[in-house]
Amino acid sequence: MENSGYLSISDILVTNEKIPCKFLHDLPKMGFLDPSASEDDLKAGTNVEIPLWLAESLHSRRPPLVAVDLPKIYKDSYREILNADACTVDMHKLSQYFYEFGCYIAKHDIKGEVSNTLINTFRQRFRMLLSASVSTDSVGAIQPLSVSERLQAAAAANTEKALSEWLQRGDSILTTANMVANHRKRKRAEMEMH
Amino acid sequence: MDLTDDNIALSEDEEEEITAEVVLKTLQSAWQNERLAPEILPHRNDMVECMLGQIQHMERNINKLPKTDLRATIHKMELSRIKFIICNYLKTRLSKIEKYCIPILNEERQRVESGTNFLTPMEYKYAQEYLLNMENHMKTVVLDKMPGNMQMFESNKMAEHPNMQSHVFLKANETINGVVLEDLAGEDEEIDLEEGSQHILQYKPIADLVKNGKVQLI
Amino acid sequence: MFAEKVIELLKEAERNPVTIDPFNDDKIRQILEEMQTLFRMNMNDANATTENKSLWTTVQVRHSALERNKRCLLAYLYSRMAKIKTLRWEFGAILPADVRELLSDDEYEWFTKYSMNLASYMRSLGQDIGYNGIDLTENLKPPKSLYIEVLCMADYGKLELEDGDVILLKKNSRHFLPTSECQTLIRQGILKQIS
Repeated sequence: MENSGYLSISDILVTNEKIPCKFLHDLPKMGFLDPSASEDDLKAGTNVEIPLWLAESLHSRRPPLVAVDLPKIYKDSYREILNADACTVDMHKLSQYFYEFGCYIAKHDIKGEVSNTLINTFRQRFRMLLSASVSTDSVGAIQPLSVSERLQAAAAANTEKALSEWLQRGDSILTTANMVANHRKRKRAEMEMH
Repeated sequence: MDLTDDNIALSEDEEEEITAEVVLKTLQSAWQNERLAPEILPHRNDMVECMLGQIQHMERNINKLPKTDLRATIHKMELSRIKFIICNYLKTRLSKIEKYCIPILNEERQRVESGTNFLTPMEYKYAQEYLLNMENHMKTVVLDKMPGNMQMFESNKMAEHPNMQSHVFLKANETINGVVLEDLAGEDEEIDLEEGSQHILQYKPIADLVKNGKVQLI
Repeated sequence: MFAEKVIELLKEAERNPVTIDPFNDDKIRQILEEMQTLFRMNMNDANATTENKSLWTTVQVRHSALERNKRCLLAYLYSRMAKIKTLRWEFGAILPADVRELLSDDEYEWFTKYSMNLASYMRSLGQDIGYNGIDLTENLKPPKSLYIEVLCMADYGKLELEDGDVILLKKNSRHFLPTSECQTLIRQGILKQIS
C-alpha cells in the first residue's frame, strides 16, 4: 500500500490501533500495559489490548512474546453484517481505519475470511461512494465514512466539480481536462473491474 | 497553434518548422508519460533544450511584429503553452526525485556507470544535495539527541518506493506480443497489444514498453 | 513512554493538512528525554538479566518503544519538511515574517538550503543555449487566456510590464493584464482574478 511507509503518518496512526493479545511470557515491570492490573509485573497468560505496533514487534520475536487475536470488528458477527450490507454501516464509529488496519489483521487470520470481508466491504462501499459523489447532495446523506473513504469522496467531488467547470467554460487546449476525464474513466473502470 | 503557419521568419527554414513540430510532439508525449508513470523515466533533456531554442527563436520573431498584430497574439499563446509543458515536465520530475530520492540515487549510481542514466547531471546533483540536506536536518534536530545506538539515519527504512502496481491507461504505438501479466494467485497470463489499441493495466509489466516508446500512457 | 506523547504530536500535524503549525519544541524535548529514560532503564535491566532471565523480554519491549518513538519523531519532521517545501513554491524564497515564525531555526536553515538547491538547479536550465535558467515556480497553471482581469487586493505600488508600460496597483483597482505577468502576484494574494 502506498501509505505504509516508515515515515507515513497515516500508517503510524493505523498501527496505533489496539489489538487483543495474550502474553506468552512474564514481563517484569510492564504491569502498566494492562490497565486492569494492579501489579508491577505482567504475568504470562494475561490478555491485554495493546497497540498494533507493539503487538507486531513482540509477535515477530523468536520465540514470540505474544499470541494475537482478531479484534471483534473483524470477527464472525460483524463480518456477517458487513458481508450482508456494508453500506448501512457507520464506518466512522466502527473503525476509522477499517481497511488499513484490516490488512494488518488479515495476516493473522489463518482462515482468510477477514481478507474476503475487506474486499467485499470495499466493493460495496466504493460503488456507494462513487455514485454519491456525482451529486453534491448525496455525500452528506450516506453513512459516516472511514478516513480513507472520506479522502476518496473528497477527491471524487473535486474531480466532478473540475469536470463540470471545464465543460461549462468550453476551453480548448488544456491537459488538465484530459487528466480530469481520465480520472473519471479510471474510477469507472475500477468499478467495472470489481 | 500551428507552427507551420508562421510565414514571417521561418520561411527560410522549412526543415526547421517540421522538426520543431516533431520535437514538440515528442516532448508532449514524454511529458504525459512522466505525469502518469509512477516511477521516474529516462530524461528527455535533448528535447527540452531543443524546445528552449525554439522558444528563443519564436520570441525573437514575435518581437519583430507590431504589438497589435494578431499573429503575435497567437504565437504568444503558443509560447505560453510550450513553456507550461516544459515547466510542468521538469517540475513533475523534481517531485518524483524528491519523493523517491533514496531508491533513485541508489539505482542511478549504477546507471551512471553504464551510461544509461535516467537523471540529467543537474538533476542528479539536485537529488544528492536534497538527500544530504534532509539527513543533516534530521540528525541535527533529533537523531543526534537520541540515546546510544539509535542515532543512525536508516536509509533503507526511510526509502519510499513508487507503486509499480498502480494501474495506468495506455495506448499501444505498435503491435506488441507476449506481454506477461502476473496475477495475485501467481498464475501468469500473456496478452497481445494490437497497434492503436487502448488498455488499462498495471504499470509494472509495461514499464519497459513505456521507456522504449512502444506504449504511450494516456 | 510508549509513544503516546509523540502520537499527539502527529495528530496535531494531521489536523491541519494545508497549514503549518508552530514547531513544537517543548514536546520534542520531552519525547527525547523519555527516550533517554527508557534507554537507561534498559541498560540497567540488561545488566541484571543474568540473575533474572525474564527481564530480557522487558528489555525487548522497551526497545520496541524506543524504535517507535524514533519513527514517530522522524515522521513529524518529515511531514513538516513537506509543508515547508510548499512554502517555497508558494511564497517564494522570502517568507513573510508571520510564516517564518512557525518554523524552528533549524527548519528555517533547511528551508534556505532547499531554496538554494532549487535555485541552483533552475539556473542551470538551458545554460548551454544561453538561457539564464527557468523559474519553475512560475507557470504552475496551464494558460487559459493571454489576458485576465484582476482586482488588486492591497496597495502594491508600481508594476512595470514587459512591454514597458507601468501600472499603479492600488487597493480595489481593476486591471486587464497579461496572464504571465500576474501569476506570482495572484499566488501571493496581491491580485485576484475576476472571472
